[in-house]
Amino acid sequence: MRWIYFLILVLVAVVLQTTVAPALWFRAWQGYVGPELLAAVSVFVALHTRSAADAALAGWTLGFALDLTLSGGGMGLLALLYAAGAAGVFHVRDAFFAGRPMTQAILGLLFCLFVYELWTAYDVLTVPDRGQGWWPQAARAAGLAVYTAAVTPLVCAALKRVRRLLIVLPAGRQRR
Amino acid sequence: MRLRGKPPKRWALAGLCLFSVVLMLLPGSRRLCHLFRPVLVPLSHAGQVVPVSIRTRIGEMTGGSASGEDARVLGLRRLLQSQQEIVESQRRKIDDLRQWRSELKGFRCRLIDARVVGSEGVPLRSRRLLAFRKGGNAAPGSIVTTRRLLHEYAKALPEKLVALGDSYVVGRIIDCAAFSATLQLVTDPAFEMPAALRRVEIRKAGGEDSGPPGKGPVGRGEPTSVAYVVGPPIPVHAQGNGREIVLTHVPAGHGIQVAGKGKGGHPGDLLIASESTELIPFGIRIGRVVRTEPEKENPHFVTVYVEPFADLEVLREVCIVLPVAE
Repeated sequence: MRWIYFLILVLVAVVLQTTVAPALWFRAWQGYVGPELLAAVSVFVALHTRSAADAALAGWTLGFALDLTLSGGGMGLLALLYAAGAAGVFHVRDAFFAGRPMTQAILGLLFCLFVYELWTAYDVLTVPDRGQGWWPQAARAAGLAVYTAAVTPLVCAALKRVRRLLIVLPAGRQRR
Repeated sequence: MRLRGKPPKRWALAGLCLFSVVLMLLPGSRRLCHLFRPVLVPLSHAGQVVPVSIRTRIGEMTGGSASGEDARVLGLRRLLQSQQEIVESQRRKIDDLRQWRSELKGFRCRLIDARVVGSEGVPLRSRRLLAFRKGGNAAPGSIVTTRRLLHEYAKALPEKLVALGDSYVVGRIIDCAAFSATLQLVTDPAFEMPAALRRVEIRKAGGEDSGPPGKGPVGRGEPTSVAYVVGPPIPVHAQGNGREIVLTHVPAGHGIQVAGKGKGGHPGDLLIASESTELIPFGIRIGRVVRTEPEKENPHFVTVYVEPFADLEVLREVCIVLPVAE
């Protein structure tokens, strides 16, 4: 894994997530639903990297970078969830065809459901009752997961062009 | 699940996970974010131009531009429009200062200009990242009001808006660092604030019945009628629900009026800042009532839903009100 290029990618993804991505949000029943570009990047890295440690480290970095843009409590949780999610995607990827858009979408959906359902559950448990309960937040997290699943194949297709910059391939192997 | 990799990577991963756990347990660990704001804020500031410009152009294109006009005439018209906007912006600045002087009258505070530079990464909360100029020093809890919020949409401001002023409450600061702050919008589920409802009545303009003394017209429902604020303020507690502002347990006997659709409809009762908050003066507008629902537990009370006046989706320029001690 080429970490310098990866860190540049993380910075670009965070800026896009906080500025351009909100243009893709739409108003749903209980607030806004939008895509999570860093989750899509995490799925891509987990599908193509060579070791689970690399996938988990990349996931942790993406989660931590996203956590830096947030406010309120729970600093550090998103990084842990991203690391666990990326490691999980790495371990199940052999059961799928990594290049297929449907695979990428399904893994993006599962990744976001895992990360954001747990994150909203933590948020609801640790923050004083707002009178809303967990299920509206869970529904919005599910909406976020579905939207991200739709966007993940596009992100993976875009990142595939720069895959060689990010991931060191063994000599003689052009693709996984 | 075993993580295969070189030992230094596994140790690094273990160390980072332990670091994350420590951050979760440490109070005030969120201050770590402030170290990265000097990098994030300028990049977000530049990146924010793109979606706002796109929305502006889409709004202009779908706003009913005449078809079949000569392209050259359109170009000249746009040039003239831009020149007029420069003159208008200067005039608005003078008007804003006069407006604020009359609205704030006697309320000692500093107004800190701020600009929305980005959102939080996750759309599950309605929060925005702000940057303000050197010398500004906002505190958590400070109320943020808008100033020229609809800068790109100045020409398209609908005339149905209540004409009390140009600025509305859009949220409050919840997290501050040097030159940057996080704005919690009024629609955020965690937002809450004491407020007051003002009843609005439509009366015929001119003649004997020109409104109660000291309570001027607030807008026009029809060309020959004027909307007036009447009655004492009704104390309520405003909370966000992700989309609107919700006021629960409002006595149904007050007869809250919702905003009517179409030209000439009722403008809707007003939600304003309450005199029980010391952060802004009484009367700063927040939104208007769009619907009410009777409460199931007690039909003598209703839940009121208020739509903010400010267009939170394209929030860009805001103004932070910082009270100054006597």
